[in-house]
Amino acid sequence: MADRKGDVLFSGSIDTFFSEMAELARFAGRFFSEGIKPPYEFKEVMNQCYEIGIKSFVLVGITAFILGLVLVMQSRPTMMEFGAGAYLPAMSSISIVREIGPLVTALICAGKIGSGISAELGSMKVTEQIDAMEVSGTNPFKYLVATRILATTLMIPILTVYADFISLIGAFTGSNIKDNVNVNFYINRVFEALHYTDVVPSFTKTFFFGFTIGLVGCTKGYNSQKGTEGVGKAANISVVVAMVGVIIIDMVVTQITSMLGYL
Amino acid sequence: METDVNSIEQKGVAGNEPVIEIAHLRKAFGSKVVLSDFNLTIHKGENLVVMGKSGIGKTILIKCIIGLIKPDGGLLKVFGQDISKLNHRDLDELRTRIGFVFQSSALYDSMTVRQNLEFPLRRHRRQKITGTLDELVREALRNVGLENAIDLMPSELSGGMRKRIGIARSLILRPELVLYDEPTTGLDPITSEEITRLIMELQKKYKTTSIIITHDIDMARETANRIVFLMNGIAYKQGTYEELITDQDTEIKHFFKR
Repeated sequence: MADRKGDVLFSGSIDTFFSEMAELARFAGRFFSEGIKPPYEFKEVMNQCYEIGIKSFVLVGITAFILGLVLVMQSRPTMMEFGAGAYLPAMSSISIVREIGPLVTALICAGKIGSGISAELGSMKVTEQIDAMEVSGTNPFKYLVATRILATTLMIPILTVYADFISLIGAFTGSNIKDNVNVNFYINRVFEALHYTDVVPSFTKTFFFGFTIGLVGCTKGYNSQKGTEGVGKAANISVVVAMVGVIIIDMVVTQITSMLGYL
Repeated sequence: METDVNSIEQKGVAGNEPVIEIAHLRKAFGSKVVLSDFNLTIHKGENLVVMGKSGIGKTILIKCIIGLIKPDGGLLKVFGQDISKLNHRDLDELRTRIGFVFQSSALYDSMTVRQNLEFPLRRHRRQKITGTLDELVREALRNVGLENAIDLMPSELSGGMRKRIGIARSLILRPELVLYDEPTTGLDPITSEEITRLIMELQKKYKTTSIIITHDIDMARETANRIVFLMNGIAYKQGTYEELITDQDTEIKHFFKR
């Protein structure tokens, strides 16, 4: 009895996992097949870039500043112990640009933007607004889904660059709490430490982060069922799936970068 | 029963061209058969009311007509075009000739009333519609008596106002066919009467063909050229309001509470 029950649960989970993956793949395929065909929804893409990107600047900025500050404050004692205090700008800039900036921005956006997209589309679905759009002769996939995926794919890299910059300011501030570091010295050390092999892979992966966050949020929201309860569940699941997706992509990109000899 | 259906369909707006032709339409969700062998023809200028118990498939029927739900089988022609054979583009084009009033009104929450009405106009303005966007939106709102609500958000509207805006939006592209899904559900009797009167006025003004799904017997009496009673997946009975109200069938008598 217990075995049978266990079998059913295991098989159910695998079924669910593969059906979720298939649905994401189907949505991604639809995005590339329908999203690139005219008519283009430029105005809505711009609107979504504003909603997704500009409205996240404050949250991302505050978080990035604090992370940069805390990173330096926590690393400093150990670095000083080894007599490597002069390497703090290099260490912090490489950490921020390669990993902390992109990952933290993506995780914040998976929570804020992914859940927002999912809840918005989910509530539109249960209140028949998506059907209303369709009967008015507008393709809701193009108008609602393709525009949001495109906006997240474009805005997450921009937010990441911004987060990197603010986080470096936070790191500089952290360096100045106990030491007196000259700004020119700090900037010089940062640029000396950073190479294109640090910047290019980490910037490239943010496009994939953005695409994943948009895709997951839209898929979950667009397919949400069972009324308002389903909307809540869709928002919740989209955050979890997007965050796991971002971390998996991060791992894959790091592995590829390592294989190419950039690490 | 079949004889009844055929004979009744010859009445009313006989001579007018058919707008919708439905033959042997089938739709099931898993083991639940909603439409089993549904047959119906609706002619130009006709006001058809579809009645029946809740969950019997009335909304499914009109969603099949507008292509939101794909039937499992049978023939469904709208303006002479087989819905199942249309591609996305042609279906979108056809939909601009059809208005759909949702039970929940389905106004876009993130847009003002003005933007809700402009949305279909910006995308599918047909040549016969002249005037600026603002003029057309204001005229649509005047038609439903809500010109002052132009800059309000849907969340600021009452249930009756939402229905009116929903009707205004569905009519803004001057459709030839309008599908109403329970337009008076959830409204008080006075507002229901106002909505009924509004629908009649707009039908006369724009000379539309209509399918109205309703449980509101007063509305059915006021608006219907013909009433179809949907049961067991088929057009169980059809006739004018007077014919159905005096029908001796047990189900019909029970529905009309006689």
